[in-house]
Amino acid sequence: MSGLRVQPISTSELQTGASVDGTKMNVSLEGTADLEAVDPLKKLLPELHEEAVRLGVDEVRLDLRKLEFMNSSCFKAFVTWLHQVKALDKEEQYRLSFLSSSTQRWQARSLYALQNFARELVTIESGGESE
Amino acid sequence: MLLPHDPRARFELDFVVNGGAATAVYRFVRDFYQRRLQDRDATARVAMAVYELLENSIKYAADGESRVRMEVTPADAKPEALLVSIRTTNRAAPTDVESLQKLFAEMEQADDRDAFYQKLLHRGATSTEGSGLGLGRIWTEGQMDVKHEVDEPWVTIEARLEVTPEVSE
Repeated sequence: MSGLRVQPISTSELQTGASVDGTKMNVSLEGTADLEAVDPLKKLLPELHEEAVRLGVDEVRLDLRKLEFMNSSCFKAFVTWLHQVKALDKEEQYRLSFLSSSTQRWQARSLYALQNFARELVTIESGGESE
Repeated sequence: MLLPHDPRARFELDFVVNGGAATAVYRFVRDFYQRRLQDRDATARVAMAVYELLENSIKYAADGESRVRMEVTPADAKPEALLVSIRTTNRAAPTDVESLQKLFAEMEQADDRDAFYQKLLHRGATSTEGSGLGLGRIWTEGQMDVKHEVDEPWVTIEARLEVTPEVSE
């Protein structure tokens, strides 16, 4: 979490990590984003957004390859995040790039919906098999 | 009697639902039906639907209790296809019943599932209240038929999906 003013999540089901490398922020989510993760994510994602703006990053890379499942309430937190990025002035906006797992089939459908929500801001990469 | 590779199956759960239980049931459904349906995409959709319906029960069950019933049966019209049905039943408050009925009315009027889902996402982006994303997700991402029955105070929601199992060699 070097240089970032965020509180990582470490519950029995979900662990997150975040770091900054130049103009990129790297975030990882591992486990299951279920009901227990909703409140921590609703706290973390706005913190990541604030940090992304403060540090002037141009991309936040989210590694979901080890994310087994995300419920709709956690998914909504990502939608809210994207809404906040869309509301920024153009020069402050940054992209969200999702690295997905081809074996977690729900990811393709959910991330497709996120991309449709914010086409100019979201990219999706397939990261192959999750471990 | 079910043969070892017979995909038909039925189970019922009747318990006080909590978040941990919803995740456990999700994993059970995913693993159980992966072996029976031999279709990872369909299995993922079914497991997602089970989770979302259970979580709805957690949020909206007036007394914390919910019943879940899952069945896999031969589809009527196509002998090679299977019908997966997930039903949850719980008591709900009158205001929640009203919200649910409004959501289903919107779904029935929607011409396009993806466009409707985007409408829910936009609504959810700025709302702290329930946005119907869970049911919307089952209907759009899951491409499942979703119905509801109300016999106040009881609410039953059913999600159904027809699957043609892949033949394993």
